[in-house]
Amino acid sequence: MPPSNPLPPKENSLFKRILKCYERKQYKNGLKFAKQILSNPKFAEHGETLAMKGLTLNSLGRKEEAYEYVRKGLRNDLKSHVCWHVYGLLQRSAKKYDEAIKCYRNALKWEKDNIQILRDLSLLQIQMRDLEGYRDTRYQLFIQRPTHRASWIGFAMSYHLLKDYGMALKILDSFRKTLVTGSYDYEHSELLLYQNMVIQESGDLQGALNHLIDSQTQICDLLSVEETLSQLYLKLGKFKDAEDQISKLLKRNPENTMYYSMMYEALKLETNEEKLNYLTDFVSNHPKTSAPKRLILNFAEGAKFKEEADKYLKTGLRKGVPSLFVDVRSLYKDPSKAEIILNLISLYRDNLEKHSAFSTPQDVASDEDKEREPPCTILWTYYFMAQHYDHYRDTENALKFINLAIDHTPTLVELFVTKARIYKHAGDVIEAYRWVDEAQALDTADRCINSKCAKYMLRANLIKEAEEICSKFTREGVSAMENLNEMQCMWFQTECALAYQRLENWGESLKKCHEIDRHFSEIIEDQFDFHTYCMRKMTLRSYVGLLRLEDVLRAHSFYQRAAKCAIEVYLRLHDQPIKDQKIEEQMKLENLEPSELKKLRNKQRKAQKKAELQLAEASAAAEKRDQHNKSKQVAGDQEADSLPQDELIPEKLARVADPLDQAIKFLYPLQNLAANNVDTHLMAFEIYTRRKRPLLMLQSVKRAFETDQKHPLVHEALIRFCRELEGWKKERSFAEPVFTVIDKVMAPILGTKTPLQLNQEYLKEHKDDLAGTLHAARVMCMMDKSKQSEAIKVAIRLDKGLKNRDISTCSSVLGALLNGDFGDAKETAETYRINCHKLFPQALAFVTPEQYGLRQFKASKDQDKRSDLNFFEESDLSEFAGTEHSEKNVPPLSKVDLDKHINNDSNKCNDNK
Amino acid sequence: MPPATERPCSRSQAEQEPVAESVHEVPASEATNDETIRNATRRGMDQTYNRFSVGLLKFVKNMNIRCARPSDLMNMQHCNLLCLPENYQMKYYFYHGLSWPQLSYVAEDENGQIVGYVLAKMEEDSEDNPHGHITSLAVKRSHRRLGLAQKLMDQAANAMVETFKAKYVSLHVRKSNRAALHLYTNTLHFTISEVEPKYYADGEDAYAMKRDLAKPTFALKL
Repeated sequence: MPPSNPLPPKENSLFKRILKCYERKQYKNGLKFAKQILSNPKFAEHGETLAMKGLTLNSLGRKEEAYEYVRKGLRNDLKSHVCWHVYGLLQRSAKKYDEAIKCYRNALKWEKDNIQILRDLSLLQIQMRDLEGYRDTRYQLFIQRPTHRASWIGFAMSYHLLKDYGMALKILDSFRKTLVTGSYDYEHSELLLYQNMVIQESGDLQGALNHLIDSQTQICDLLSVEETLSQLYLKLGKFKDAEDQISKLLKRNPENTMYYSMMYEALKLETNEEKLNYLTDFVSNHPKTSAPKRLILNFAEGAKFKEEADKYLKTGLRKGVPSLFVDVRSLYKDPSKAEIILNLISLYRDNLEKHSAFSTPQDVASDEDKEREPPCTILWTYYFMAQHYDHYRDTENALKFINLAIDHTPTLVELFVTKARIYKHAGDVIEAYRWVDEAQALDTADRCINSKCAKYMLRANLIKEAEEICSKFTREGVSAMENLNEMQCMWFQTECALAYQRLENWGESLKKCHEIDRHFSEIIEDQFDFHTYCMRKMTLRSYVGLLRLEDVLRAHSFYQRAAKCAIEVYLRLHDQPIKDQKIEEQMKLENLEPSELKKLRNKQRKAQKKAELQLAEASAAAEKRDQHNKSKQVAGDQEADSLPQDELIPEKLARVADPLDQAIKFLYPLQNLAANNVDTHLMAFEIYTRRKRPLLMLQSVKRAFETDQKHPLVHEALIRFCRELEGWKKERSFAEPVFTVIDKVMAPILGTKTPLQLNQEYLKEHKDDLAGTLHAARVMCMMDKSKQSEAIKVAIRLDKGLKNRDISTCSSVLGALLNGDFGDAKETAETYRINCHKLFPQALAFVTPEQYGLRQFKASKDQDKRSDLNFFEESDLSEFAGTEHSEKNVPPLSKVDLDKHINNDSNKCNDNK
Repeated sequence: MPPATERPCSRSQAEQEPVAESVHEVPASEATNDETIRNATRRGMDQTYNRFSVGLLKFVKNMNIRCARPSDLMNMQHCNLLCLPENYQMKYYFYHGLSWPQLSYVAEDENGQIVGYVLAKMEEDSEDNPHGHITSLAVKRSHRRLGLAQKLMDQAANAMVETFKAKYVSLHVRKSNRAALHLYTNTLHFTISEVEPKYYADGEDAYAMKRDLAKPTFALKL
């Protein structure tokens, strides 16, 4: 269709030059040509020119003007595909993809065969996973350009993504027939493998096998061929063929443990003994391979295990493999294996101390074991033992052995890291950070230890210090925070968010959570470029892998942790909103004497002036930044798309008007992608309780129950929900059908029991589990205030053998006592604290505020003299204990401070789990 | 230990890569993204793409070395950020994983955490002299002395030859990184080909190193 307002030849050629300039990013020139057309009064209102002027302005970062011109252009020429296309591009650059799709569709109404618009539309459709729309558009493109390779691929892929395998394969087959391939053709090889992937996914395994065998010679990704053949043979029960293929794989990479599992299947090895024999055989033929040696330990039992473990441990200790303990730790699930390992290691230690060899001269052992070991063998033995005891949270023994190791070699970074970890597990984050800082100082050129140090600092809420440590490895010229954000360093940002949360700095905590969320958005955006790139490169298997990955991207633990933190903070902000400073001040003013008021006003005026000055400085800086960005744009360096996004301002984030809505935004991805995590539903329950949404509460409770019905928090949520329900029923808060639904859903969960009965049952069932008793006791108290003393008795048990008698649970109990969950229980809390302190002497959660301050003070003192390696001698300790130093320098800790460290739940710090 | 390190990729550098379209840095509004997620199928991360479309077998995991999958790329970035000063945005990892899916390898521990990786690519400047390049190699400090770096590098080099007919593989290393230099020279048979002055962002020089993969001496002890 011809444009409704055609330009004469001269103007038309100018218009074409605008388009060309836009494509070549010569925006300034483009504007010049637009001006030439528009300055002619006859064409001052020419729609397409106005639209193109707008689009060009958009690329120069002048967004508001851009919208103005594009909209004006469109109004003037509603039947122009150019105007609609341009409007779509503008929306796309603002990431309003749904809107952009609508615009493209409008554009296609007026010009249905326009290739460029169809291409743009298909990209948005695949990005937004509008798979049906994508298929239709790919069909159009295919019809238009049947000679283009990408037309075929895209067309086939659109059916594949819709799981219409038959159609996808038909297209791929026809396409392959048109191809002429050379002897070595990587792209063709990738295409064949993609085709094979589609056949496999269609469920036709025999077909996939035949296809792969036929096309083998043309495929240059041999690993994929061998792996796929092995899998297919296994699935089809052709075990002899499978064995041959898997042998090739094992020859290629004997360190891939999955290949061994496949081999067991191919050889029909079922018992541990059979697998053991196979592995032993393999090792004797491949003595240099590591994986099977370790796998043997999984299958060996009793005396055989002892023999194999003996070999394995000695080799590791001789070589000084730092990960030896971590490597065998999973064997500890079997207590008999753990015992054997401990016995062996203890024996080595005795013999190494006495004879500097693994065995005594009298032993009937191999000659090798009687030889003198190098001095560091005993060091690694101590190191192993320290980790062994730490695994069982035996702090005393763990420290004993790590100190022996450090006495032996005071310069080994790993030893200090382990010492730090022991303290972390013992609940003393401050001591832990001091030791890892020591380790860091021993090797400042290594970023691994630097990162560990930063992490421990953050666990101790030392955010400034952590940033400073990190800055040793970040780019110069920008702050470490900024650089780490740019590099998407999410572990750091998560730890920061959690530290700020503990410090009750809600705004900063939220800022970090949002930064992480933005990384995920950005990574989803990153797909965009690969839609066309992968079709060109023909790496279609990986491309489909990318699409599937991006669909579930926020299932990543980085997102889950950040979202949990954000939701907790928003809930807290909902429960206790941050008061607006101005209103607070107003309230104060009303109670003031006139003279004081005057003084205050003066003060305020000064403060205001100062603030204005700062503001001016800040805006000057911002302007500078803008200009910097602009100059970049002129240089054509930066797309308008990459203009800085809304700045995250902590003060604003903390004063958000709708914290629950914000929390829900973080919750949705979890509900979709982390539904197997009970926390997701518990958080949903907390949000919807505050929203008073009975059916959503019901949904959350039900899902939580289905995920983990024994979980103490699920139990508590369930009872809370029942109690809410009773209240609503009494007040008739909701329409009858709501109650009908709830009763129907709850019936299978509750049975005929009352909440009281449920709780009694739960308590009975979990009487030996501290986490269970705490929550049952809390529920008991909640339902019947008169049962406070009984509930407390249940909650404060500390007998040996209780499950979950750990720092984290005990500090939850202490927190509950202090919070008044059990009524006024200050004295009980203090006794409980003292008892816990005896049990966990290092844990900061159970020290008095004075002791806590003292430890902190000691830490800061040590910072000053850290070059002195002897600083940790006992004499140093007594120097400060109980002297006036402690009173003068150590501010008394409030309960709030204590809570922070109680909340700094040591279980979270447990990187073993 | 011995990281092979590519110059950190600044934004502009990432844009130079032959990725078809312009780079988009401003993320979509939260609403749009949540919408996408809500429309997404419910699936666990571990069920996403693997090199076997047939599906993985369940098996006991111990230290394991295998070819990287798209879902590993984020964890490789994490490992990189912990270990090395040269860092890259996710897109650069995607660029590797989607252009040469055969070349990058990971070492994972029994929890499936990545403790070491090699991120590798083919240089596309010469058609008749194809060669690979190690963009980044790292092993966590806690997992050194297991020979992981060598195993990872050998797998990557093997794939370069097998899939792309590479004649040699190159890398850059900081002049001051003696441990890495030692590994590359003595264990991995690299030789210094030239010095690239001020290669790194902080002004340090790099050694450009090469390992010949064409000679019959390149026989992996597989």
